[in-house]
Amino acid sequence: MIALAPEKKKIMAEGHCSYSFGNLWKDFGVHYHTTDYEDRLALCSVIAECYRLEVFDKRN
Amino acid sequence: MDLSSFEQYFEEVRVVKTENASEMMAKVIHTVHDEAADAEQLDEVLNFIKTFGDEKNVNEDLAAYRFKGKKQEDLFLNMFGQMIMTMQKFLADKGMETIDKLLDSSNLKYLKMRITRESHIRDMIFMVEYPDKAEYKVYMKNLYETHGMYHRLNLRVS
Repeated sequence: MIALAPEKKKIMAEGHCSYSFGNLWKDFGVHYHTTDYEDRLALCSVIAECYRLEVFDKRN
Repeated sequence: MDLSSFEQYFEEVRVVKTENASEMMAKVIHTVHDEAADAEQLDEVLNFIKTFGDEKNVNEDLAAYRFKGKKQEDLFLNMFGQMIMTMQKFLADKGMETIDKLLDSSNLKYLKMRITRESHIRDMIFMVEYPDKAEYKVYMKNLYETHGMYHRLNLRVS
C-alpha cells in the first residue's frame, strides 16, 4: 500500500501487515508451538523492533 | 524512549543514603546504651539497622530520575497526553473500544510506544496474535505528522 498525504496537509502515517508464525523459525530460530506465554511476549517485543513506518517527508 | 529524548526531560538524582554514617552510628550506640531513650530514638536505631543491615541496599547504587524542571514536566506530560489520546482513537478504530476488549486474554496483544531522536520521532505499534490463522497482525501509527508519501510497514530483521 502506498498512501499520499493530501496536498499541503500533514498526516500521522499508519500501516498494517501480517507476520506469519512460519517466519519465526526463519527470523529468530523459534517454533511457535514450543513457546510459552513469556516467550511469546518476548517475541512480540523483538518483532515490534523490526518495524518502522517509512515516511518520505517534504524537506524545505 | 531513547537517551536523547529521555535527557530532554529527566535528570539523574544522586541518592544520598545518609549524610554522615559515622555520626549516625555514634548516635545509635549512644541510644542503645541509654536506658531513658524514647520511642523516637529507638525508631531511628531501627531504621538505621534496617538500612545498613540490608547488604543489597547498602552496596547497590540506586538510580533515580526526576524532571529537570516544571517546564520540562509540562512539556513531557502534554506530549504524552496527546500521544495517549491519538493512541486511544487508533485502538478504538481497530475494535479495541474498551479496556475489557484490550485486556481480553483470548489472544495475546502487545502494545508499545516509542519516542526517539530528541522526541521528534514518536510512534506506536500494536500487535495481536491469531493462533488460528498462525499469524500476528501488526498495526502501526506514527504519532507525529509528516507530509507526503508513505509505504506500508517495512520489515527489517538484522
